[in-house]
Amino acid sequence: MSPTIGPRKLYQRRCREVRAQMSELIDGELDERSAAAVSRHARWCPNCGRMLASLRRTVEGLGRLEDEPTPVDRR
Amino acid sequence: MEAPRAPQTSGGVEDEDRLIARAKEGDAEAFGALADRYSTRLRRTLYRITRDCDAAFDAVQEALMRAWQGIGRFQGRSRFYTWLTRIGINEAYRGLGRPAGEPLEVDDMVGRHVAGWGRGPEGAFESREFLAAVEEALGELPLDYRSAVTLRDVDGLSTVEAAEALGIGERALKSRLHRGRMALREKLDHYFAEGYL
Repeated sequence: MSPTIGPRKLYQRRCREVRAQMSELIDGELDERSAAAVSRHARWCPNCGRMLASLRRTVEGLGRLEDEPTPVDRR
Repeated sequence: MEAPRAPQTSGGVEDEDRLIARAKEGDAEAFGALADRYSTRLRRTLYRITRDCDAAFDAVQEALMRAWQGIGRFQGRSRFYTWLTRIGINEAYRGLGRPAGEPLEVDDMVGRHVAGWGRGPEGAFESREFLAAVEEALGELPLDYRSAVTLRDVDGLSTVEAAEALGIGERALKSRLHRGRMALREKLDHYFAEGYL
Protein backbone atom coordinates (compact mmCIF):
# COMPACT_ATOMS: atom_id res chain seq x y z
CA MET A 1 0.00 0.00 0.00
CA SER A 2 1.49 3.35 -1.01
CA PRO A 3 1.65 6.04 1.65
CA THR A 4 -0.98 8.72 1.28
CA ILE A 5 -0.29 12.42 1.47
CA GLY A 6 -2.62 14.34 3.72
CA PRO A 7 -4.46 17.46 2.50
CA ARG A 8 -2.20 19.74 4.54
CA LYS A 9 0.99 18.31 2.96
CA LEU A 10 -0.62 18.46 -0.47
CA TYR A 11 -1.63 22.07 0.08
CA GLN A 12 1.86 23.01 1.23
CA ARG A 13 3.40 21.26 -1.74
CA ARG A 14 1.24 23.33 -4.07
CA CYS A 15 2.20 26.53 -2.20
CA ARG A 16 5.87 25.61 -2.62
CA GLU A 17 5.43 25.02 -6.37
CA VAL A 18 3.54 28.27 -6.79
CA ARG A 19 6.09 30.32 -4.84
CA ALA A 20 8.91 28.88 -6.96
CA GLN A 21 7.14 30.19 -10.08
CA MET A 22 6.31 33.69 -8.84
CA SER A 23 9.30 35.42 -10.44
CA GLU A 24 8.53 33.89 -13.81
CA LEU A 25 4.90 34.96 -13.44
CA ILE A 26 5.97 38.55 -12.68
CA ASP A 27 8.33 38.52 -15.67
CA GLY A 28 5.63 37.15 -17.97
CA GLU A 29 7.78 34.11 -18.67
CA LEU A 30 5.26 31.42 -17.74
CA ASP A 31 3.09 29.81 -20.38
CA GLU A 32 -0.54 30.87 -20.32
CA ARG A 33 -1.82 27.79 -18.52
CA SER A 34 0.82 27.87 -15.77
CA ALA A 35 0.37 31.62 -15.31
CA ALA A 36 -3.40 31.17 -14.90
CA ALA A 37 -2.87 28.33 -12.39
CA VAL A 38 -0.39 30.35 -10.29
CA SER A 39 -2.62 33.44 -10.33
CA ARG A 40 -5.66 31.37 -9.39
CA HIS A 41 -3.84 29.80 -6.44
CA ALA A 42 -2.59 33.20 -5.29
CA ARG A 43 -6.16 34.56 -5.33
CA TRP A 44 -7.41 31.63 -3.32
CA CYS A 45 -4.50 31.18 -0.86
CA PRO A 46 -4.05 34.25 1.41
CA ASN A 47 -0.39 33.59 2.26
CA CYS A 48 0.62 33.03 -1.36
CA GLY A 49 -1.47 36.06 -2.36
CA ARG A 50 0.37 38.28 0.12
CA MET A 51 3.71 36.84 -0.91
CA LEU A 52 3.04 37.51 -4.59
CA ALA A 53 1.86 41.06 -3.86
CA SER A 54 4.95 41.89 -1.79
CA LEU A 55 7.28 40.24 -4.32
CA ARG A 56 5.73 42.42 -7.03
CA ARG A 57 6.27 45.52 -4.85
CA THR A 58 9.89 44.47 -4.38
CA VAL A 59 10.49 44.09 -8.12
CA GLU A 60 8.73 47.38 -8.84
CA GLY A 61 10.89 49.11 -6.22
CA LEU A 62 14.03 47.69 -7.82
CA GLY A 63 12.88 49.06 -11.17
CA ARG A 64 12.56 52.53 -9.67
CA LEU A 65 16.19 52.46 -8.48
CA GLU A 66 17.45 52.78 -12.05
CA ASP A 67 17.17 56.56 -12.04
CA GLU A 68 18.13 56.97 -8.39
CA PRO A 69 21.60 58.48 -7.96
CA THR A 70 24.22 56.36 -6.24
CA PRO A 71 27.28 57.50 -4.25
CA VAL A 72 29.30 57.06 -7.44
CA ASP A 73 27.33 59.93 -9.05
CA ARG A 74 28.41 62.32 -6.33
CA ARG A 75 32.13 61.89 -7.00
CA MET B 1 46.22 55.30 -22.67
CA GLU B 2 42.72 56.59 -22.23
CA ALA B 3 39.46 55.62 -23.92
CA PRO B 4 38.47 58.29 -26.45
CA ARG B 5 36.14 61.08 -25.45
CA ALA B 6 32.92 61.84 -27.30
CA PRO B 7 32.89 64.72 -29.76
CA GLN B 8 30.78 67.77 -29.02
CA THR B 9 27.99 67.53 -31.58
CA SER B 10 24.96 69.69 -32.09
CA GLY B 11 22.95 67.03 -33.89
CA GLY B 12 20.56 64.46 -32.45
CA VAL B 13 21.40 61.04 -31.14
CA GLU B 14 23.26 59.22 -33.85
CA ASP B 15 22.08 55.74 -34.71
CA GLU B 16 23.93 53.22 -32.59
CA ASP B 17 24.65 50.81 -35.44
CA ARG B 18 26.26 53.64 -37.38
CA LEU B 19 28.41 54.65 -34.42
CA ILE B 20 29.51 51.04 -33.95
CA ALA B 21 30.37 50.70 -37.64
CA ARG B 22 32.42 53.90 -37.50
CA ALA B 23 34.14 52.81 -34.27
CA LYS B 24 35.07 49.52 -35.89
CA GLU B 25 36.80 51.50 -38.61
CA GLY B 26 38.88 53.19 -35.94
CA ASP B 27 36.80 56.34 -35.49
CA ALA B 28 37.61 57.36 -31.91
CA GLU B 29 34.93 60.06 -31.86
CA ALA B 30 32.23 57.51 -32.69
CA PHE B 31 33.42 55.23 -29.90
CA GLY B 32 33.53 58.22 -27.57
CA ALA B 33 29.87 58.92 -28.36
CA LEU B 34 29.01 55.33 -27.45
CA ALA B 35 31.04 55.60 -24.24
CA ASP B 36 29.26 58.82 -23.27
CA ARG B 37 25.91 57.21 -23.95
CA TYR B 38 26.48 54.32 -21.57
CA SER B 39 29.20 55.14 -19.05
CA THR B 40 26.94 56.67 -16.36
CA ARG B 41 24.52 53.75 -16.56
CA LEU B 42 27.33 51.21 -16.41
CA ARG B 43 29.03 53.04 -13.53
CA ARG B 44 25.80 52.92 -11.48
CA THR B 45 25.29 49.26 -12.28
CA LEU B 46 28.84 48.34 -11.32
CA TYR B 47 28.57 50.41 -8.15
CA ARG B 48 25.42 48.51 -7.18
CA ILE B 49 27.26 45.26 -7.79
CA THR B 50 30.57 46.14 -6.11
CA ARG B 51 29.26 48.69 -3.55
CA ASP B 52 32.60 50.44 -3.99
CA CYS B 53 32.94 53.78 -5.83
CA ASP B 54 36.61 53.30 -6.71
CA ALA B 55 36.03 49.77 -7.95
CA ALA B 56 33.11 50.94 -10.11
CA PHE B 57 35.10 53.85 -11.60
CA ASP B 58 38.10 51.67 -12.32
CA ALA B 59 36.02 48.87 -13.82
CA VAL B 60 34.17 51.26 -16.17
CA GLN B 61 37.40 52.92 -17.27
CA GLU B 62 39.03 49.56 -17.91
CA ALA B 63 35.93 48.21 -19.65
CA LEU B 64 35.81 51.18 -22.02
CA MET B 65 39.48 50.73 -22.81
CA ARG B 66 39.05 47.04 -23.52
CA ALA B 67 35.90 47.65 -25.53
CA TRP B 68 37.71 50.22 -27.68
CA GLN B 69 40.56 47.80 -28.25
CA GLY B 70 38.17 44.91 -28.96
CA ILE B 71 35.36 46.65 -30.86
CA GLY B 72 36.45 44.78 -34.00
CA ARG B 73 35.36 41.55 -32.35
CA PHE B 74 31.88 42.87 -31.51
CA GLN B 75 29.62 41.01 -33.91
CA GLY B 76 26.30 42.57 -33.02
CA ARG B 77 24.70 39.36 -31.80
CA SER B 78 23.84 41.20 -28.59
CA ARG B 79 23.20 44.86 -27.89
CA PHE B 80 26.32 46.98 -27.50
CA TYR B 81 25.39 47.81 -23.90
CA THR B 82 25.08 44.10 -23.00
CA TRP B 83 28.50 43.42 -24.51
CA LEU B 84 30.02 46.40 -22.68
CA THR B 85 28.36 45.33 -19.42
CA ARG B 86 29.85 41.86 -19.67
CA ILE B 87 33.32 43.39 -20.04
CA GLY B 88 32.59 45.74 -17.14
CA ILE B 89 31.43 42.92 -14.88
CA ASN B 90 34.51 40.88 -15.67
CA GLU B 91 36.65 43.86 -14.72
CA ALA B 92 34.64 44.51 -11.56
CA TYR B 93 34.86 40.87 -10.48
CA ARG B 94 38.58 40.89 -11.18
CA GLY B 95 38.89 44.02 -9.00
CA LEU B 96 37.01 42.28 -6.22
CA GLY B 97 39.38 39.33 -6.44
CA ARG B 98 36.65 37.02 -7.78
CA PRO B 99 35.13 36.20 -4.40
CA ALA B 100 33.52 32.81 -4.13
CA GLY B 101 29.78 32.96 -4.45
CA GLU B 102 27.95 32.23 -1.24
CA PRO B 103 24.89 30.04 -1.73
CA LEU B 104 21.71 31.78 -0.71
CA GLU B 105 19.18 29.67 1.14
CA VAL B 106 15.73 31.02 0.53
CA ASP B 107 12.95 30.54 3.02
CA ASP B 108 9.73 30.23 1.03
CA MET B 109 7.80 30.38 4.32
CA VAL B 110 5.46 27.59 3.30
CA GLY B 111 3.23 26.64 6.20
CA ARG B 112 3.78 29.93 8.02
CA HIS B 113 1.90 33.20 8.07
CA VAL B 114 3.04 35.69 5.41
CA ALA B 115 2.54 39.27 6.55
CA GLY B 116 0.81 41.67 4.20
CA TRP B 117 2.42 45.00 3.39
CA GLY B 118 -0.97 46.61 3.15
CA ARG B 119 -1.95 49.15 0.56
CA GLY B 120 0.07 51.79 2.39
CA PRO B 121 -0.46 55.51 2.11
CA GLU B 122 -0.55 57.09 -1.33
CA GLY B 123 2.87 56.72 -2.93
CA ALA B 124 4.37 54.74 -0.04
CA PHE B 125 5.99 52.31 -2.46
CA GLU B 126 7.50 55.15 -4.46
CA SER B 127 8.77 57.02 -1.41
CA ARG B 128 12.45 57.77 -0.77
CA GLU B 129 12.21 55.67 2.40
CA PHE B 130 10.99 52.61 0.55
CA LEU B 131 13.54 52.99 -2.26
CA ALA B 132 16.33 53.50 0.30
CA ALA B 133 15.24 50.31 2.04
CA VAL B 134 15.26 48.43 -1.27
CA GLU B 135 18.73 49.78 -2.08
CA GLU B 136 20.07 48.81 1.33
CA ALA B 137 18.58 45.33 1.15
CA LEU B 138 20.02 44.86 -2.35
CA GLY B 139 23.46 45.74 -1.02
CA GLU B 140 23.19 42.97 1.56
CA LEU B 141 22.63 40.19 -0.99
CA PRO B 142 25.55 37.87 -1.79
CA LEU B 143 27.41 39.00 -4.91
CA ASP B 144 26.03 36.47 -7.43
CA TYR B 145 22.44 37.24 -6.49
CA ARG B 146 23.05 41.00 -6.28
CA SER B 147 24.50 40.95 -9.80
CA ALA B 148 21.56 39.01 -11.24
CA VAL B 149 18.94 41.23 -9.56
CA THR B 150 20.79 44.44 -10.43
CA LEU B 151 21.10 43.61 -14.11
CA ARG B 152 17.59 42.23 -14.55
CA ASP B 153 15.49 44.41 -12.28
CA VAL B 154 17.42 47.66 -11.79
CA ASP B 155 19.24 47.97 -15.09
CA GLY B 156 16.32 46.47 -17.01
CA LEU B 157 18.17 43.90 -19.10
CA SER B 158 16.12 40.96 -20.35
CA THR B 159 16.70 37.50 -18.88
CA VAL B 160 18.76 36.55 -21.94
CA GLU B 161 20.82 39.74 -21.79
CA ALA B 162 21.45 39.51 -18.04
CA ALA B 163 22.56 35.88 -18.42
CA GLU B 164 24.87 36.85 -21.25
CA ALA B 165 26.33 39.78 -19.31
CA LEU B 166 27.12 37.44 -16.42
CA GLY B 167 28.39 34.65 -18.67
CA ILE B 168 25.90 32.12 -17.27
CA GLY B 169 22.95 30.19 -18.68
CA GLU B 170 19.36 31.42 -18.55
CA ARG B 171 18.36 28.74 -16.07
CA ALA B 172 21.10 29.77 -13.65
CA LEU B 173 20.17 33.43 -14.08
CA LYS B 174 16.50 32.73 -13.33
CA SER B 175 17.44 30.74 -10.24
CA ARG B 176 19.68 33.51 -8.88
CA LEU B 177 17.11 36.13 -9.75
CA HIS B 178 14.26 34.38 -7.97
CA ARG B 179 16.33 33.57 -4.90
CA GLY B 180 17.66 37.13 -4.79
CA ARG B 181 14.18 38.63 -5.10
CA MET B 182 12.75 36.32 -2.44
CA ALA B 183 15.57 37.22 -0.05
CA LEU B 184 15.00 40.92 -0.72
CA ARG B 185 11.27 40.53 -0.13
CA GLU B 186 11.98 38.87 3.18
CA LYS B 187 14.39 41.62 4.22
CA LEU B 188 11.78 44.25 3.34
CA ASP B 189 9.22 42.29 5.34
CA HIS B 190 11.31 43.15 8.38
CA TYR B 191 11.21 46.85 7.53
CA PHE B 192 7.43 46.72 7.39
CA ALA B 193 7.21 44.67 10.56
CA GLU B 194 9.43 47.12 12.41
CA GLY B 195 7.39 50.06 11.23
CA TYR B 196 10.13 51.79 9.23
CA LEU B 197 7.81 52.15 6.27
